[in-house]
Amino acid sequence: MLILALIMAVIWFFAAYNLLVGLRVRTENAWSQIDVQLKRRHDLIPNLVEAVKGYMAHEKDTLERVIKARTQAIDATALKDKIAAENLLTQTLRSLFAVVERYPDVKANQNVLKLQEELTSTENKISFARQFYNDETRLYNTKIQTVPTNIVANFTGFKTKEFFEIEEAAQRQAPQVKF
Amino acid sequence: MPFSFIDIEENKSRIIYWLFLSIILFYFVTAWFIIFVVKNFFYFSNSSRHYSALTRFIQIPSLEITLFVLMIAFIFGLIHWQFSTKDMLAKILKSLGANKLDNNDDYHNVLQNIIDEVCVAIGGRKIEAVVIPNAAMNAFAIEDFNSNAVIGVTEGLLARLNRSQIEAVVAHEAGHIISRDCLATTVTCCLAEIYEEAMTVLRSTLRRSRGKGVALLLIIYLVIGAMSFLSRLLNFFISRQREYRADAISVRLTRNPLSLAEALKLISGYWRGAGSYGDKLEAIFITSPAFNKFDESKGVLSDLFATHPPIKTRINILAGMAHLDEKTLDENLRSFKRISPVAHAEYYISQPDKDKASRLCPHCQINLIDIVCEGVLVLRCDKCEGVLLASNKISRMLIREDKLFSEDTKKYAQTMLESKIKLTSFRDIDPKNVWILHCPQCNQKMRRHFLLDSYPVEIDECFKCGSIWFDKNELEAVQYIYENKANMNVHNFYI
Repeated sequence: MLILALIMAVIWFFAAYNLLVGLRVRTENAWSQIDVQLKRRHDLIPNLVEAVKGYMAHEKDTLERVIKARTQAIDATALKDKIAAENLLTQTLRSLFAVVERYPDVKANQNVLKLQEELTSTENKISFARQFYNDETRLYNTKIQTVPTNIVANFTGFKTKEFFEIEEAAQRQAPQVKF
Repeated sequence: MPFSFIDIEENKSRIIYWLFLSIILFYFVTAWFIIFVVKNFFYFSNSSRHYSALTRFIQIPSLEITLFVLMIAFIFGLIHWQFSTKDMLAKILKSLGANKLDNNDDYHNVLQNIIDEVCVAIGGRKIEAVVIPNAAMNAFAIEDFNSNAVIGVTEGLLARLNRSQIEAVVAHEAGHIISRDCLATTVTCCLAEIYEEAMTVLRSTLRRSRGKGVALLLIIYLVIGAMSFLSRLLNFFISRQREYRADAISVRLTRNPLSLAEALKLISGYWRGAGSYGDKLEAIFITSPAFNKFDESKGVLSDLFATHPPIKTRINILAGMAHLDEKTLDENLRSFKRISPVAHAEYYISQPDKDKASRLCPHCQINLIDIVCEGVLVLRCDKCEGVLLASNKISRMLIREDKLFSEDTKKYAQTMLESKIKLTSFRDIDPKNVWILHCPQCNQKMRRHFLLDSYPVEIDECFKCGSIWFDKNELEAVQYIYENKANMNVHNFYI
């Protein structure tokens, strides 16, 4: 009887371990999706800056801030730094778009408009990928911290993952969803 | 509840299993019923020797017969299943007339971006995008057994909704795909579609055939008609709830209930495409394209027969999520102004492709220039201002409303319509002029004819590559007439 219980426990242990590994792979996969989109954004920014530079001689500051934020984001290696740098880049880009709104000439340029559409699309993809990553991470973290899987997690050294959170307070006020 | 491919795969097999059982059951019940009727009402005179009128009772087919019928039903069901689920996606797309996206089209590029975004939001699954060149406003999603998914929207929807609204609609369709009801709907539609197809084929055969065969064909036609009616019962499997669920998923993906509410409101106000799609396909659309009186009402009976819930209820739920009531939503929409994806209705492409062979204007013999007009790539001659475009691009240009027309164009369109009254038939084109221009693309002779009865514009069409040549102002005039057809009494000009 005791042996049977022991075998059951071992089987459960393996199953729980595999479940956790599966969940971890899913979060990693979700993160790689964010990475792809972030890289795409880094590639698009120089083109946009180049396209609007001619029109916006007075807005040198804004453009330089965007470029600086981009360099920072590319250089960041640690996850925490990376998240902070990317959030800064999002912010500066948003201010650049706000400035562009003030220049009818720039808005009437089809090339700029196309780049803006591409960047908007990439921004959306980043936020969607982040949403998906956070969903998967939440599932993984919950499993690690709740009984009984937390026993397996502690035993085999699964660590909780960090959420990709938004820094700004204004952004955090997403529309409230009521079902 | 995050969704993963594993969950979807597990559910898929269950759906297929149930649908297959239902189709066998459908045949079994039908065949059994036929035998039952035949036994009781037609063979009665034969068997009346054995039963007196008093002991007459309803005969139920014996167990052997029932088993035999079950076997036949199984075979029929298998054939039907195999036949109708082969190339499901291709078949549906063909019957809807859906096209792949055009890479050179600005509006289509935005749609492609939106679909890519939604793909990211659902975790990186690939979804193909198509458009239906149709002025109606609608969208659909279909999926096959190999998890190939397609989302399609109409040109009318692309031309009249904002980016965020289109995104909400696409996310709704993606909601159908990830909540696993899309496959069931697609299979159900295909299973029912087969009778519709058979009836269409038979109808045309009936019209052509004479003599003995007609009676037989007529009987087959009636039987298939009855089966077609019965197969409508498959709609039982399509629950109205799935639309609410897809709406909820759309909100969860985009965090934007307001845009979806606005999109539904705008869609419900326009023509949704009744009549142009097969009846059986209505279930795959976001709002029912056919008029179905059950759709807009509540109750048990409606829940059984309708494929879509009342659109008012859907809008109310979504507006509630955005903390708005329907009245404010209406007022907001009254001042709704769509943001166009193009800066100008017309612009030149700055870097023309050097490798392209030169294409000469059929009138002036100078090089034609690439120009984008309402997002569509066309060729224009700078000297005579004539325009060359592929015939499949005309519908797109007519449906889109971003172009502002000059007074000249308006006057030209008016005179064109008035001059049409004097024309009596197509023969008014001088026969000498019918084959005079050469196609700039393939150098074939182009035929001159009227675009349509109600649009009295003479065009030159190449039958090899399908290009169409419009002289100066003519294309704009057609666009103007189409967009203002309500004010211009176009229909009076039908010959």
